[in-house]
Amino acid sequence: MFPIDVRDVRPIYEQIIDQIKEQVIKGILKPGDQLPSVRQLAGNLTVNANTVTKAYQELERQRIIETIRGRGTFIAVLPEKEVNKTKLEEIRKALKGNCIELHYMGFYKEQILEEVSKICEELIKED
Amino acid sequence: MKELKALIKIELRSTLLMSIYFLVVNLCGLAACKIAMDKNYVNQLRYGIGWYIAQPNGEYIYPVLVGTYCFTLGGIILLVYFQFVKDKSLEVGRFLKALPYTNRQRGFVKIGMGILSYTLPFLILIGGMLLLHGSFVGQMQEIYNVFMNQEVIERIIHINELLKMFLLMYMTFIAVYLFLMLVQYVANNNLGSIIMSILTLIAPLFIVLSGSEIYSFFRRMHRLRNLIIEFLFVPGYPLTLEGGSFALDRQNQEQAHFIGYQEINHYGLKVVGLILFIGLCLIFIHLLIKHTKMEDSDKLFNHGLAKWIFIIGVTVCSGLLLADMGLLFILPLFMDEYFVMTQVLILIGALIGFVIAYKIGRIGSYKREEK
Amino acid sequence: MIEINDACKSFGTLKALDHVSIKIPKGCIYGVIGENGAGKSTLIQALVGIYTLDEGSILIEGQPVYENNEVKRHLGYVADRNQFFKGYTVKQMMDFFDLAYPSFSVEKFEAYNKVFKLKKNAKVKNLSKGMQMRLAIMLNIAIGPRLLVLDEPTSGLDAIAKKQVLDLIISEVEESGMTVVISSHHLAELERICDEVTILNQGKVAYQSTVDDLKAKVKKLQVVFEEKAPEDLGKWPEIVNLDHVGSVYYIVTDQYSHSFEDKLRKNGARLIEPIGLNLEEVFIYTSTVERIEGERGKDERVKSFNKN
Repeated sequence: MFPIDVRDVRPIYEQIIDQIKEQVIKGILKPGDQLPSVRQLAGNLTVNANTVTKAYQELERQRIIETIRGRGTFIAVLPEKEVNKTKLEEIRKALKGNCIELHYMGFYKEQILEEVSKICEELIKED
Repeated sequence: MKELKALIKIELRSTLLMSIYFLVVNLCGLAACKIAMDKNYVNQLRYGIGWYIAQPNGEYIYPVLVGTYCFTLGGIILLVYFQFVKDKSLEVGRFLKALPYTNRQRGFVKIGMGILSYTLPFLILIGGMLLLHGSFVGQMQEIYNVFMNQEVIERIIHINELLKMFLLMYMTFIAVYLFLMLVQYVANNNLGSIIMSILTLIAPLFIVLSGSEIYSFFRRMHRLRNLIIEFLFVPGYPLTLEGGSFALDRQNQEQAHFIGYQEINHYGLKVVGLILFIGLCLIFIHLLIKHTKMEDSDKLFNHGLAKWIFIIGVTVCSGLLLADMGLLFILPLFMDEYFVMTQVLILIGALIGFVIAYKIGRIGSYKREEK
Repeated sequence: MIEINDACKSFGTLKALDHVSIKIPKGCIYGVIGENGAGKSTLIQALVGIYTLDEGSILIEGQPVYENNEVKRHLGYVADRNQFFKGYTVKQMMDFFDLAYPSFSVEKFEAYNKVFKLKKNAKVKNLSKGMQMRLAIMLNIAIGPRLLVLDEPTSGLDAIAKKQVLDLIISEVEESGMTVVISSHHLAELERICDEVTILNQGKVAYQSTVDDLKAKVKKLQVVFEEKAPEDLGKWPEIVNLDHVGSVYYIVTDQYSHSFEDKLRKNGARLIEPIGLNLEEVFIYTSTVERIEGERGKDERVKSFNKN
């Protein structure tokens, strides 16, 4: 379904989470689409079922997916995009850290904004 | 029993194969007897007593039985070899050990199946021989009825002695079989342990014979010497027979002699001896099976004690062996220094034997240390 | 589910297992990693009741395994070489397992064989090593074991066979909750499917943790220092490997944490970027250290690592 990179800094379950989130953002996975079962995905990716379970649990916690008893796991259909305040804070912190690093590399504010712009455009292009 | 099915299946191949061999050997024995009997019958009819006098050795049941006995012993050796081929292979041995069966269960099934494989054909042999024996006596009875005025002399082993011999043979089979098994649990090489067992069975006899030649004890005491020799060689128990006799008389004036000769010597003692031997083998096998470990399979000997018994045995025997060879070839040249030369040869032989046995005994215990 | 307590085993003067302790929970896929001769095979064989221990104990569901039929009936063992009996065919081996293991299921075996496609009347000794391995795995999983132990299961297998084997294990664990212990050199597969691992080195436990933790702790960092790197950088206890290309330093640490990053920054690091390591690299870095540093340095490191 998607590649798992063991060299990646992120643990496997995080990669699964990020990949699914990305596919949702890009619209490959739409709200209401059914995800493969834990066993199916584990077999598909050749990873431990516990890892997939962990990923699914976290995605469910983040309200990105929902499990309906007896029917399966689906991409969540949310009335509207709520802004998760704690999540926003975390992202702010991370962004701050990245900005500092970029600054140390010699980037000024405009260049930093340019970088962010480029990344967003790339994401849109991939759609 | 049901849960041992898998174990039985494992042992089935080797024991079934050997069972067929034992059956063939015994049937051949029966056939040989039948043919000889028929020939004898015909010759008796043709030539009567005259033929008999020209053929003093009419007894053939005994040689045939000796023949089947020897072939069966050979078969037992093969049986033990085949039964242990799997276990002694490192990979298969490992697989067998991981199966849900204890060492004891595996040993018990192995011994049981092994004994069964030569018991059934042996029972057929007994049955067949009894029938033949009966038919032979019947034939001679017939001849007697026809040639009323002649003495019909036939030597035949009495049926009681025959049965006693069968019992002794069977017990010897079990004794030899168990002994071979025992040594398999002592040494870890299949072929090696079989050779060791055979040599160990022969060794006491060899030591006494050779020792008595060299050191001339027992030389005068023939009876004692023969007695010792008879008891030292276990496989020989059923075979040493002496003349006894019984006569089947008719109520008439004319005598019809069925001279039953050949009794087994010291029957009672031999039976008791075999029971003890078998009992000891079983006890030791039980103890050894408990303590068999896979991690020892590199070493040749599991226990230090066995290793030293082996070394001492080989030392003594090779000393005597060299001296024996010396007696034949070299010593006629040294008639004056006869005794001294003999001792020297014994020492040289013992030294060579010791070195070789020591090296063999050390097989396997090097490997791990080097790792 | 499995408790290995202070296991010791020597062969002559060689200590194959030296006070090894491992606890494996039910339903876990547990990996045992180490170089050749590190003690993996010895541990595995002691676990399935082939070897006895000199000291310590191995308990499976509270019962010792040696000469214990009750435990062995629910234990599947796949060795690195599986030739089984001479002259036996695939079908005969299946029948044999059916006799020997009461919980063996012929239907399951047939179902697996639909994927692996082994000919029933093929003689086992004529099969390739890979096919023999697949046969051994099918037979042992069809027992429906509570514990499945595999010694180098993927060595000698091509990529397709490897995937089939691993998928079978994964799905079986998911379905029946069986516990799995795998020893292997092929760390790429292990790190995807193992929950926890133990790294053995010369008979001793060098590292023991979940895969995720291991990779979270052992990281390679690309570091650029403001000016010069600190003089004693090579002697820092947290650093197991140090290399540099020009002014870019590659630091491998086995105690990665924010405080470590802070320490670096305090010592003049301007840019710190973590580079992902796969399990194989983790293993290599943590193992080579032992040889350079010697016993004392390693003990300290293991203690602090396992504490965190």
